[in-house]
Amino acid sequence: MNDESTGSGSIVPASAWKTDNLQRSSSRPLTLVTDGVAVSGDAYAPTLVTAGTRSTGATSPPAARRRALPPGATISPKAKHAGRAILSACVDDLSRAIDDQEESIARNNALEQLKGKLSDLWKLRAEREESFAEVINMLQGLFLKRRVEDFSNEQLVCLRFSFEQLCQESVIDDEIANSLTIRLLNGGLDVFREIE
Amino acid sequence: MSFEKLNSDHIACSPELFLDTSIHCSKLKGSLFNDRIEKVFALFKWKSTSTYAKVEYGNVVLGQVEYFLDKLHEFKSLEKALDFIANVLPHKLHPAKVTWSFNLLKAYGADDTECTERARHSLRLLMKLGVAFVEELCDRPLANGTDCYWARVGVHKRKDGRLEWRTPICKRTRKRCRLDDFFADNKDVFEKIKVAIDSLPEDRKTAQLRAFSDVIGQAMLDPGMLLDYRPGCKRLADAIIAVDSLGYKSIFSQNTAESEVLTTVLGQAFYYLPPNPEQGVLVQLPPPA
Repeated sequence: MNDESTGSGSIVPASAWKTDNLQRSSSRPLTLVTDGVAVSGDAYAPTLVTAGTRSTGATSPPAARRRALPPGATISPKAKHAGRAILSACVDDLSRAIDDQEESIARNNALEQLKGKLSDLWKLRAEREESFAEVINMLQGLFLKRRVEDFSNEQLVCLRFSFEQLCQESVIDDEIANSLTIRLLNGGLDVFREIE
Repeated sequence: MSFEKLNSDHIACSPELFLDTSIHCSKLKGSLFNDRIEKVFALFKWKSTSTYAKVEYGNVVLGQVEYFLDKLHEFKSLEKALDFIANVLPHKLHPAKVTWSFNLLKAYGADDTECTERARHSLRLLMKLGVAFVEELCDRPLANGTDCYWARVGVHKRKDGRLEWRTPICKRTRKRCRLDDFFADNKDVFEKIKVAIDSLPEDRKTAQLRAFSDVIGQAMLDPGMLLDYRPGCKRLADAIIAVDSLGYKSIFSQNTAESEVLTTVLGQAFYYLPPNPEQGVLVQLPPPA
């Protein structure tokens, strides 16, 4: 029971096999399935991103692996900490943008840095829950094709309040995502503009 | 009565504005619509709508969002989903899907995989917000003459996590709203609407206006028939919203043929948002009291 491409031996106990686990067809390589989990090189290092499937060599775009965690999956403390740290830095950027109301260059710089941090948060989505990705996507959409002058101070204050709320939440569920969306809509931020 | 173009000197007829479903839907369109909508909103102190508008918003927008999510799920590609809608779907049979694909599906991301993921997130967020989108655009309380059951139900989350907007399936054998009582309470207003429609020249009677007149005639004899969604409630939808707006003096809508008649009967100012931005916003003022 060797995986041909990786050379790794099986660590699946024989008791976990089912009689219909071995499937072979003329066009597909041998695949072993144990209780719904495909046994290949992928199974042993799920977070490692490569340009293909390590067992078969089939290519797939790396971005396909970026999707959010499946429902019910546990978020690692490291991912939670990273998210909270970046969100906290976003609050700082927004505070600077609000304080530098008269200084358009400083305000612009603060918002540009905020956009960079939102990109960092987006990169974390593979380790976070689905609502996290939805919220970050929405927040990134707010800054699409918009200039710094397009944001009033009231809108930035509303945005900062939203980031502060996100900082306090270890897990973002549908309810939090909805309340955030509603708050931004009420604060005059057109969160669905990016889908125009 | 006739329309005049809204200009900067215009003074609103009332502090409040009542929104028809078409305005809620147009808030999801581009700046050609949104800029004019904001211009009208700025004239008023507060805005309201009917809870029944939530059902229409669900049928018009959320139904399409659900379809687009299904297509993204099926093709696992935004590019393919858009290709399907543009080149495979018969446009004559599904004009709304084509139109709303322009408004709701946007490619944003490094490659098709990321664009697909982002489009899916945006659509799911809109679905999760559901009919609350209508409520959040307005100041509370909303007019709730019918206490529509379906407006309270909103978007349904299936066991597999997929979100769906279900088209109402109300039946008179299982009364879940007070539409029949609402009709009885406002029978004289509905009758006025029917008389106004019947007295219009034939070329001004749209299919929808004819349906209003027909359903009102049937409901005069049996208000309970309205509780059946397809033959009753659905065919009277815009008229239900209009009667729910009875206490409001200014109405904002994108439907001209029906709203022009309904606001005239109810003595309201009608702010009309034509599709062509060159026309700006048109206003039809009520005759002086």
